[in-house]
Amino acid sequence: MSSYTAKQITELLQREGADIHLRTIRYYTQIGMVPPLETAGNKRVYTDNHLAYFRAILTLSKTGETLASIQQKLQALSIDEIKKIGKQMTLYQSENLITRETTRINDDAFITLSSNVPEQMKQKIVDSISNIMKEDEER
Amino acid sequence: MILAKLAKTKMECWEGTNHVWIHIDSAHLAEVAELHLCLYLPEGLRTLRNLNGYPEDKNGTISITAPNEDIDLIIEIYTEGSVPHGKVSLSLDLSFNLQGQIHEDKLQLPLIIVPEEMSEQIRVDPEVAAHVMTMKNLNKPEFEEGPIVIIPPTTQLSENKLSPLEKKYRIDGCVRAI
Repeated sequence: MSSYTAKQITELLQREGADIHLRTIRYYTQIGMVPPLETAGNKRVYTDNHLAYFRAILTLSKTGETLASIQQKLQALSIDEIKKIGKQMTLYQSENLITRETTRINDDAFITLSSNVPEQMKQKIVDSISNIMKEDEER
Repeated sequence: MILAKLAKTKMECWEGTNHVWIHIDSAHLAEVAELHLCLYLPEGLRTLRNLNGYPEDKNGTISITAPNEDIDLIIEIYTEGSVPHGKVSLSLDLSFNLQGQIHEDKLQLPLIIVPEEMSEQIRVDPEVAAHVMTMKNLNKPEFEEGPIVIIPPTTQLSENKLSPLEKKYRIDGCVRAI
């Protein structure tokens, strides 16, 4: 597992498009939003798990939840579930909310496409996925 | 009448965040028509607009009109450039209009600026942190630029009441079986 400094974590998240400062990473660590740092040699470091926590926190905070509510939710989840939430981080960045469009096929399938995708192609993709879901249902 | 506390009594000289929690009990506010608060920071420290969303002018004076319940005001402060290490003090000025008369109060909050390497050893006051964590952050860029536009998903026509996967994998009667 990789280890990171607070600065490296900040830079990684910023490269992924997150609007976050080093001071926020430090503060979230101090108030216990992420698990305690791990020891590597004589240094205290962040790991990939911490990175997953930060991604999940940033994702959930976009939905308007308070830090207390996010903390409570994350405490009840496994690290794999936290990683899954974090993977959706870019979907909730405001720029992406404006430039992407989500189509709901049914309760199990949602397709998010860039608004630049031509309408005809969009319909083709939606139809294909709908057919796959239908075939699966009939089997 | 007024209680003010910092989340951290020590703060990083560079890229540090801290919060001031100001509590005013409603019992002391019964006849107060208007309350004004202003936080004065030492050089190098900056502040965001109050997290509660109370009206605040460009000088940082927060106004609360006809307060009728407990006030738990949270102000976020931070360091951006490098601030000299050592003891500093934040000053909180409070004035209120009570039965037509203006009353004033002043509080000092001591703070120690420490090297950023000490970040991990800095302790946070759990009471202040609990208040901060229940706040909705009104200072996120989205709120400064305008409301978030959440585009609702468009919906395809569905012939089923249950989703295909739910239909396929649902086990009816399992509750009864248990």
